Amino acid sequence: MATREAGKKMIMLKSPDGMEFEVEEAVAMESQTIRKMIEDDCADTAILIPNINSKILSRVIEYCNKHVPTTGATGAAASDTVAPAALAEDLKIWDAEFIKVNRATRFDLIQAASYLNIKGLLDLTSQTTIDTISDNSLEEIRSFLSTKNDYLPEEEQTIRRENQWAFQ
Amino acid sequence: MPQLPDELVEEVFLRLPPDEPAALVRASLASKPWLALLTGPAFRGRYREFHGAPPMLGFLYSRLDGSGAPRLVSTSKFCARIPDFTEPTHQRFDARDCRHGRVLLGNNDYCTPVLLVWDPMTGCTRELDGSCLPDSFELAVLCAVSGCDHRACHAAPFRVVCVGLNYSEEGECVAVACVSSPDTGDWSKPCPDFWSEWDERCPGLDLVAAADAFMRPMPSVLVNGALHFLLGYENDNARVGILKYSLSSDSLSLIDAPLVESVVFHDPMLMAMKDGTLGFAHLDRLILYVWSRKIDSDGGASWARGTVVHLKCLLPMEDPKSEPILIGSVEGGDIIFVNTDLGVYQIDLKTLECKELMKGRNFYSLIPYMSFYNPPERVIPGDAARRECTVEYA
Repeated sequence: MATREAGKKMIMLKSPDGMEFEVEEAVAMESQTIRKMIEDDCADTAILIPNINSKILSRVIEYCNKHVPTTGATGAAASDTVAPAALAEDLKIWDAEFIKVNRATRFDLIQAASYLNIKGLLDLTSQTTIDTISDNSLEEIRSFLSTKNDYLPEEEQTIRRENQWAFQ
Repeated sequence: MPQLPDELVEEVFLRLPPDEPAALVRASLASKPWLALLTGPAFRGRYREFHGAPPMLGFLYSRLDGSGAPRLVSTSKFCARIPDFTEPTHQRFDARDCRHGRVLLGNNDYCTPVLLVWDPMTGCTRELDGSCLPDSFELAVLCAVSGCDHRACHAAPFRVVCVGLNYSEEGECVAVACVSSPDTGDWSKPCPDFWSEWDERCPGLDLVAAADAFMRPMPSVLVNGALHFLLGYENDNARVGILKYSLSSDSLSLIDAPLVESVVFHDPMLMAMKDGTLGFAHLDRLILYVWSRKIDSDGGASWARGTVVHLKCLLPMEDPKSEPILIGSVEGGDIIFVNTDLGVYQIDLKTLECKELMKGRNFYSLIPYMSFYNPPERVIPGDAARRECTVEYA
């Protein structure tokens, strides 16, 4: 088992394209999927993360690094002096910056967050997606859902009329 | 164009805000498979699980200067299905209570009292005979299904509870409680003759030496399986009592209000607090006090003073000498509604966030309509109820 400094257990994460990432165990355990592997003792050497390429995995690790509770020495210098509200505000600003990515990357992050079971990241990526489609036309929503309109024209007309308020 | 697998799209849609139901309706109109998925019981169940308590979609109000046909004012982009209130008696309907997705209306007509239970989601109504009600009474509507989480039960059986006071010529005052027979949930049939079918389940409670007691015109609050009503006393403005009707044990009891020396209870109000306790809110000029009834380990109960809020810093008022009044609260939400000389405001007691709901004064009661929006009844066209949007959006 790799160790970087005393008391800090390190974990090796491997992406399918062969990249390796050494991360603190606490950071990796932001993912409930990895936490379970570690707790079940399935994480002796390195954990292969299937289906998540190195570019996305590094972003996920970046997210977990920022969001791991700062109780240790690293990154915790501020936690004793800064009020929790200020820390939360700081995280919010950081999140907003973090999620400024294109749609393909955002979708990849959703898939990664879902597979790795990282609630905060799944909330963030999903919410951003919602914000982008909330004001969209029905056609844009259809494209997001990759679905085809299978209503007959008169059916669609009735539905629109009956639910006019939702389209105003 | 990058795509998400369907199960992750579902994950994304779980996060559509419940107080903005339009987005969910639009998404479910994309195609028939999505309509089936987003209106299906599996997704709806997960959605409600994810969001917990239902959001406030609108509110009903009563004003001192009378009211016309009942109106549900939307606080979200939602519009209620309003039945045809064509009968003359309907024009004088007032909102009496709203819980678990149903609204209870009463017409305040001494000769032909009519009660109406209305489901704003579907527009369905059930009329109840309101004759022979007690001399002074208040009504409550609630879901009749035991073990229900009340997140989507608006079409299920309901019951109406009437708690009131009867006065005798000898100057006695007796509290009584009646419960309508559990409804079948079939909205198409009229209810049986209301009072004759009512169960007077528990013996009356003699309010000793309280012939001047009356039911204060405020909706009851449901706390821990019991409905709580506020009592006022004609001969003593500062005196307040709480009448408790336990649904589980079918019994009536009296609870003392918090004892506050030298403070006149100006427009006190009961609350169902987020932590599951009974709350008591009152104003002393511009200071709001909220009390909470704590039950200790050996069953003893006592009032503990909780939040104190200085409304002066929170609420806009034209005349600084005017006195705001408390007009309602969200059951289990720690949210209250206050009317100042400028308008109706919603205050979150935890965050002290304040929001204007409506302009105007002279409101005495505001009842929030809390519900998840359930698209099936709305998206699939074809029922006869008239659809009508209230023009006001808060």
